[in-house]
Amino acid sequence: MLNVSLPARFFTVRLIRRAAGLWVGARLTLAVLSFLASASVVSTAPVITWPVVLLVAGLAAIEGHRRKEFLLFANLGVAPSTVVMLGAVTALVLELMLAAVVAGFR
Amino acid sequence: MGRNGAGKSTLLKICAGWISADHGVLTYRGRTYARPRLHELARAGLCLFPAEQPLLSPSFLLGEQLRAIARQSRGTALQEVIERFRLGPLLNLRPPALSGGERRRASFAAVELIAPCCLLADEPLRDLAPLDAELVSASLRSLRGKECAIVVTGHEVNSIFDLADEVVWVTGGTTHNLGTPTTACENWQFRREFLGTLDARARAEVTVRHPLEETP
Repeated sequence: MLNVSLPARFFTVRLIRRAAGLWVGARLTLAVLSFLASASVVSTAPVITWPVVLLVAGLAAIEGHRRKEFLLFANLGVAPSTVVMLGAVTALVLELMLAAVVAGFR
Repeated sequence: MGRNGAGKSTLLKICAGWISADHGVLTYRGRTYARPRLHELARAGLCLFPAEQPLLSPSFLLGEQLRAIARQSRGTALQEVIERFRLGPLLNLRPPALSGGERRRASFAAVELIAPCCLLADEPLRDLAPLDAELVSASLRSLRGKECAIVVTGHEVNSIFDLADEVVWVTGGTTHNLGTPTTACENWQFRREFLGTLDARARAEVTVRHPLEETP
């Protein structure tokens, strides 16, 4: 049985904002890398780039660990995987929005 | 209670599902957990207060966190907790900006807001000024008054014995239930090996000589 418990709204909003920041950072970094390598490291086709979603989820996990927030969330009944999932879902939504924007320009 | 390195903190973290045990199961409130996890146990009312890790996030303002915890939990009224722990002037600060004593008070305010059924507190009185220690002790008494089962570790013998109903001695890789603090103090082995106050029987076995006595 899937038993997911989200943190309080305040924490959820902050985690989503943090994940959005990580997504922007990841996208910019990949864009710069692809420019430097003069290669299309990141697809600009109107599809979701799953590696970016996974990267943001991983960064969200690292950030939670670095800020030592998992103890507080665990004491509130929120699993660390939920925090990571919030990061992944945020990145997924932003990837969808980016794909829609790119498709609109074509 | 137990000497440094006896395994008190490790035992507490295992009981809370914060670290994994090599083997064995955990039974909490009638349910057996083969692989206990803190977030699962927390949903059943357990709370872990570790000694070396901050309970509150360093990223958010203290006031924001306490308000969010109060909304999520069914605990005590927020304003009452803030006043009791004297946190009013600190609400607009982040936990890293607080002193050790203030952080401990803030953490216990959060614990009271969470209102657990069972609190595992690792050295909650360590390195505290007398007033802060009194506030934390009062918080533990308050939680006990609300039917919260509390397990406390530490070396502050007098303060902990004032709070405790039962004493468990962690030594030699196992635990010994010594009963009430009074009966624990009567245990000569516990006195000799932990408290350091030698009773008559221990004195007969151990010769303690002051270094100055040995100089001619």
